[in-house]
This record gives sequence, structure tokens and C-alpha cells, in this order.
Amino acid sequence: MGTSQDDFAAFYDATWRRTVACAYAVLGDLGAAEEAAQEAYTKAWPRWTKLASYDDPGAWVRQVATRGAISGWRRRRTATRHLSAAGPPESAPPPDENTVALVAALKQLPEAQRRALVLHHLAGFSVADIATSERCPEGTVKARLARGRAALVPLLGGTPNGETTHA
Amino acid sequence: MPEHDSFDLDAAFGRLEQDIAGISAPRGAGAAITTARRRRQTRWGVAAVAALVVAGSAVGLHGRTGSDVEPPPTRPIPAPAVRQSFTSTTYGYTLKVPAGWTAAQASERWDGRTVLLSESPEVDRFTGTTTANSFAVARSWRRGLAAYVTSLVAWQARTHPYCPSKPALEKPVAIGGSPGLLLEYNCDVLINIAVTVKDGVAYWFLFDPGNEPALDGSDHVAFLRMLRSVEFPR
Repeated sequence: MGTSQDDFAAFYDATWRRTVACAYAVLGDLGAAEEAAQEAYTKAWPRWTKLASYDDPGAWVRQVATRGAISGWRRRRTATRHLSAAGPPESAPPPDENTVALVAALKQLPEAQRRALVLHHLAGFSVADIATSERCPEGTVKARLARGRAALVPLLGGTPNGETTHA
Repeated sequence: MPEHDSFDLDAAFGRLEQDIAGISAPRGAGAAITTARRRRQTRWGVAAVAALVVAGSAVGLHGRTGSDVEPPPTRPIPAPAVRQSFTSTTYGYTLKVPAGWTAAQASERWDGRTVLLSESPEVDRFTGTTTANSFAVARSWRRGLAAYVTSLVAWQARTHPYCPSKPALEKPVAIGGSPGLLLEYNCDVLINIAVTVKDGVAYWFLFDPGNEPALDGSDHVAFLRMLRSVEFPR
């Protein structure tokens, strides 16, 4: 392996779990999330020389992975489903119940709110970063975050003052 | 990070990340590199086909367009059969929508500055048969094509930070019989923007192959045919 490939491999290993977690939070399906994450790295490699100079090249991959996850989810929602042959990844243990609950709650939110919450709270994007990547005003991002949180908290058994009714 | 939420979403997402890290199976950087290389070879093939279509039919050249350009050994590209006419109520042009595509009118006129998405109200939207989509906008422009392209490239660089600041390729294209330029941006997918200036109006037509570009390039070829069908208002 050359140096560039070694660097890319190290980057992949260091950032994979957050990337796939972001895609999973958007999509709610681990196999599809892994596909979206892998696709993001596949797109990252041809431009690795440039990405490697970024302060946080992982942000680019997370952004692409969540976009891919949204696109895939949107297609599945609107297109004919023919997924039966694929099925879940073999022998993968299920996520724990808190993860399932969070993802189930996220899926009840409008797509833009869900995406804003994931990019902000999990991918680590600032409001300004999200506004740039989503090509919308910062105020719109703030509104999506506020509405998304307001909708998400009761779905997770929380209350506005921060108390939770389950772990 | 969030500063105003008493429910700790950061902690909840942190637990999600930990959980997924424990059960997710990375496919490996090597697999990503291999796929990217294989895909690059395929994309070059599709791009070469598109270049031949543009050069051969729009600019009037025939056969080989360069000393070392060989037609790639790709499978045949199906040509759209039945096309419907679309007249933009906002921008005035008419074109033939490829068979199987859908078209939607813009509901607002573009101001020349607002960042555009395929969902933006300022764009005439055309949706392809796979994941591809296209849109068109126009704005008044009193200078020439070259000046508009310079302006557009600078605007794209400001508004699309995840794309290269300049197009990888610029090549001549005829849009409705008017000379134009086709800009190819290697974003995470190959984005095409075809631009022309006609009677004091700059028009541009964007093609986005979507998240999973059709490897046979049929939607891209349909887009190029759509460009040639454009008629501008008199």
C-alpha cells in the first residue's frame, strides 16, 4: 500500500463508527446504514488528496453518508419495494432498546428535522455548517432543530424540564 | 454543540454511536478503494459516450473528436422514444421532455442569487427514469456567454463548498441551436451544467445523476437530447 492508501485506511478505521451511526440514525436500518457509509468512503477515495487537507475530512464523509441514507430512504418510501432478497446482515446482533427507541422516534420526525438533529448532535456540525451543506438560512436550521427536539423529547419519554421516564 | 436543551440528546446519540460501533461490521478501506477505481473506469466510459454525443450532434463533428478518444465498449444506450413538449411559464423556453421523465413548472422567478436545489420553487424541474434529475432556470444577463460562465463558476464555488471550485471540463454544446458551454463538476457525482445566453437572458440546465447514477448513461443522454430540443422565446 502506498502512503495515501495507508492514510485513507487509517482515516476509514478512525471515522467508520460515527459515519455508520449517523446513517443509521437517519435510516434506522443497520445494513442500509453500512451501505450508505461504505458508499460515502467510496466517494471519498477519488478526492482523498483534497479531503486530507480538510480540518475534519470525517465531516465530509458523514455528510455524504447521511445524504445517501436520506436518498435511499426517500427512494424506498416512494418506489416499489423489492428488498426481500437482501434481508438483514447475517449474525449481526440487534441494537439495544435505547437505540431502537431513539431511531424509532427520529423516524417519526419530518425528514429535514431528523437530518438536522443527526448532523448537529451526532455528526458534530455547527448550525452554520448545516446551513451551508443544506443550502438554507441558519434560521431555518435553528427552527428545524428546535422543532425536532420539541417533537423528539416526548417521544423518548422525556419532559420539557429534562426529566426522563425511562433510561 | 447544543446549548439550550435540557433533554440530553448528545448523550442519547452518544449511546447510539457506542451501540452501533459494537455491532457494525466495517467493510474496509480497501473495498472502498477497489469500488471507486472500478466505478471511475465505468464513469469515464459514460462520459466519453456523452462527449461524443455532444460533439457529434451539437457541434457538428463526426467520428473521433480527438486523436486518442476511442468509443468505449459499453452496452447500447436506449434512446427515449416519445417525448412531450414543455413550455416554461416562468422563463418562456420550450423543450421536449424525454419519454418517461416528468416535468414540473417553477412557481417563482429566480433572482440570480438564491441557492438552488432541485426542490427549489425557482426551478423548472425534470425527473428522470432512475435517480437522475434535472432543472432549469434563467435570469437576465446583458453580457456575453463567457462572462456569465465566469460568474456562474464563481457563484457555484461559493455556494457548493463540497464540490470542486471549478468544473473539471468545459466543452461546447448547442442549446436549442445557440452556442453554449457544458460544465462538468466532479462532485460526489458527475454534475453537468449547460449554459447559454440568448437575447439578454442567461439560461442554465443542470443534470444530477442522483445518488446512484445509471451506469448505462441513458438519463444523461436523454438530458443532452433535451438540451438540443430547446426553443427560446422570440
